[in-house]
Amino acid sequence: MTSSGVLFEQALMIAIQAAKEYVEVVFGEVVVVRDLKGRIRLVLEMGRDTSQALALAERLSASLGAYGYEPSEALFFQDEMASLAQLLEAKLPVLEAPGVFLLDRQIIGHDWTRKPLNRASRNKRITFHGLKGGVGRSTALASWSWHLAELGLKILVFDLDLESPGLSSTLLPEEQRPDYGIVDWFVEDGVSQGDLIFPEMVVRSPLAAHSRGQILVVPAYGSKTGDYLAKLARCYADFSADGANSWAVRLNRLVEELEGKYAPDLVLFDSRAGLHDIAGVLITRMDAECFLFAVDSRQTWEGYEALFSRWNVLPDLVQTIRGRLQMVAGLIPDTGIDIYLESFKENAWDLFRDNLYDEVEVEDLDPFSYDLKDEEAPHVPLRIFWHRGLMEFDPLTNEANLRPVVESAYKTFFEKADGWLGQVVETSHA
Amino acid sequence: MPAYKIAALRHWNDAQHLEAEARLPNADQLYGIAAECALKSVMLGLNMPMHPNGTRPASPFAVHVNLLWPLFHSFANGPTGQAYVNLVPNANPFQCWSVHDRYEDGNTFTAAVVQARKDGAKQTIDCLNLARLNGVAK
Repeated sequence: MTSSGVLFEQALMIAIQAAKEYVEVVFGEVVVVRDLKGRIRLVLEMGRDTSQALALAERLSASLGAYGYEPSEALFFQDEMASLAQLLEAKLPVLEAPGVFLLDRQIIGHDWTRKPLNRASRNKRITFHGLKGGVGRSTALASWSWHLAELGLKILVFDLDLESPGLSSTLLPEEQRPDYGIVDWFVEDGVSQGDLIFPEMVVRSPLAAHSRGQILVVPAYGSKTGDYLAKLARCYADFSADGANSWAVRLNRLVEELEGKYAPDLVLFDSRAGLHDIAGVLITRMDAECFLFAVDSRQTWEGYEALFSRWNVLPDLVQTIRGRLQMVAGLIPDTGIDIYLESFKENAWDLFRDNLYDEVEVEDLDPFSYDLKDEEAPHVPLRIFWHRGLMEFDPLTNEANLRPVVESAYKTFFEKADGWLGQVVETSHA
Repeated sequence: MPAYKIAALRHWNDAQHLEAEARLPNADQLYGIAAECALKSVMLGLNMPMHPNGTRPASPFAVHVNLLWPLFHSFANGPTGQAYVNLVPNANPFQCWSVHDRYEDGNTFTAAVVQARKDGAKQTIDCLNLARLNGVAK
């Protein structure tokens, strides 16, 4: 095989094939390490200086092109990586090559393929995410919080759209902002004094002032935050003062501490749109269920396909998260509704069926698989209808006028979404 | 261009051989050199500037491990370097180490002193190995 012009994806396939053939002869396991630039080396269990290892190194070097290393650099051995064993545990099995694993050393984006973190709190968490912005995600979150507070629930809302914060402005008048917000906590936690921020980063939204329940808001920033960009630039660090901690672990710690203090019935996360790392954390790592917002457009489905197909090769992760996902159709147009929703369903069904649903075998007792029109299926969307009145959505200034608009646009969404909460809502009615 | 990565691994291995034979002063010396090379290998991968003649780092990085250790922290303490800094504690085990120790009579090297230096060198080798996995080490 010529090494000229080997591209990123081809390099991985070449390396996996070489590793697979090596394992078939030598047995044991081989870890394919793709480094930050995409260059590839293999970690072998043993066999330094054996003819098979030397031949493997030569083969890799000759066939990987710009993504390879010199033969002397093409292989690692597990004994020299012993101290990094924990890091090697992040390897993922390569389905088509038994005994071969992939360790992808990415600069960002690790969290999309990791399992949920453990937590002590018992309340539900739900993430609102949209692959594209502008599909009514934050408005839906604010409206549902309002609705649930009316039912008597205590909702803790995190504005984690840090690059485009807005939810907290919808729920809080400027003069009622707490002193600090999420970016302040991350910066201060970096030098071990997150506890200075902790008491001053949550306030009740006046939107639910007359409700039986409460909306507690954790904004992205507070009235004393000061230079937001300077703090935003520091808040994604994978370290706090006591050493290395992934951003996901740090966020989970913050959320758990606030859950411990406020005992909410439900935590809602407003996620940044797109395939950003924040979304990766909020969808896969925070032990949350996830409402995936979409409009029926080719761009939307292609984006979701990029994400779902990445999950598709990770059976353990798929098992863990697929039951937590629920599509939401935002901004359903006010004409041709049926045709629009049929198309939405079919596109969503393709997405789920190709990547997350089980292929049903006759003997399967309880497959995770749904028909196209099964109203309980995660691909069948919760529905939010476009309404002219939502374009000026500002419930703090015109609550009375907005109430009928919200009820019109969100009636079916509330019914179905409340169903996701099950026992939580029923208890609050009691 | 110095081959810091290869040199670090060589000195690290040789230091362990010397220590195993209770030749502590030279083991100690090589642990220090190994740590210096390991840190410089990672720093080079993170774009440490070199002297124009290419034989050594530019100022202020052309120093031995006793002075390089804190410089590593300040140099690598950015988004791309933080993972490496996390593996190397702030406290500098080579603070009292000197490259001039090789000219001394060697009577002051206790097993405890050498063990602390070995532990420090091991942390820099772990750091180097992470950089190797990431394709960063040079």
